[in-house]
Amino acid sequence: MTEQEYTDILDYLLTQLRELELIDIIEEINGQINRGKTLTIRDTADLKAKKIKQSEVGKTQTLPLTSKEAFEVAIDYLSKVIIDVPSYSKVIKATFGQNVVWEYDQTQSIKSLNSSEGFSLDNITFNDQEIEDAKNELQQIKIYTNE
Amino acid sequence: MATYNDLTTSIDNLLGLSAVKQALQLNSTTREKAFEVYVLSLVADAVRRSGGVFTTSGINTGLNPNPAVFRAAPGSIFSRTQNFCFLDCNLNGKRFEIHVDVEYEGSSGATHEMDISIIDFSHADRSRQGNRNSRHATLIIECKFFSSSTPSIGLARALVGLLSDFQTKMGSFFVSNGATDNLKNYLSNKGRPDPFTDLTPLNKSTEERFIANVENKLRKWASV
Repeated sequence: MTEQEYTDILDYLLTQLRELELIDIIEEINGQINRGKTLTIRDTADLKAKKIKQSEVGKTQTLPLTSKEAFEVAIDYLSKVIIDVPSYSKVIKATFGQNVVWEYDQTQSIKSLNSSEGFSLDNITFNDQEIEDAKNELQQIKIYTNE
Repeated sequence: MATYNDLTTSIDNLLGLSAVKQALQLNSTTREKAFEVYVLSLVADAVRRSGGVFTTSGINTGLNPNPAVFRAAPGSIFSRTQNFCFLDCNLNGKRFEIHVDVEYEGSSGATHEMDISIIDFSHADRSRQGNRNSRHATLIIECKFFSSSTPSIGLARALVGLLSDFQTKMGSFFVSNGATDNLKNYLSNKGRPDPFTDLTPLNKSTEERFIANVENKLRKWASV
């Protein structure tokens, strides 16, 4: 696929996320893309491979991502949220049981009082089959981008 | 060869799953806090593997609280406004506790939040009795869930700075499910927190390595 097609597919992904009103996720993805990438020089061979002059060693270079890299960053981030988080619930359940909650310490500040709605293990427990389907779909996307 | 249409179909399939929509609707606090308690579970496993025992304890109700209540934001170890729980552990005669998201007082007098910490029972108990943050963390674990601020060198520098305010007998860890190369390089130096930057239940080898590392520290500290 061309860079233009990757630009288009990233636009498509962000548009779909916007339609689902997942604004926080879009901001997270944009934040990651905007960070760009830094070049890390490992040794002299790496220096030559990346065509960097000796005088530039020690200077960290930040470069913008290509459209393909930006799309991969977006998919990598989605994978972590969609696949990693539900997998925590299984480990937590095995150690602490099903009835696990997170609560705010309500004495700390007025701000805490105003945002004192906690959450429970149920909030990060999802349909196993659907998570498996999601894992397969994400894997398929990675295969497509590696072709 | 994949086409634009192949990818849009896959994206549609992915985002059409209701579990995916639910997962993507979680806020960053939920993800962070879930990650911390996941890491706590691994530390508990390390206690067990080192030959120790642990029980879950609620600050108000004691043994095996139901529900197990964890902090959604950092707070004091002595707070009783919720039945916050911790692990009460014993290893080779040493009694200690493992807490999530409690505050400590550094030697400078500054207050620091520790994602996961091990503390001697005596120091924890003194803190609860005196309603004062402890100065004695035995092990510190900084946890970071991958987000727009991909765990980068700044976070590691902050942890190294924080460690200079404490004398931890067992050292420290930096754990995350992603990190920049710069952060990995920074933590590869001797004397820095032990890095585990790809910790996830989907990567059993990293999980095992982390648990074994904590176990080794526990064994050394408790002379097992």
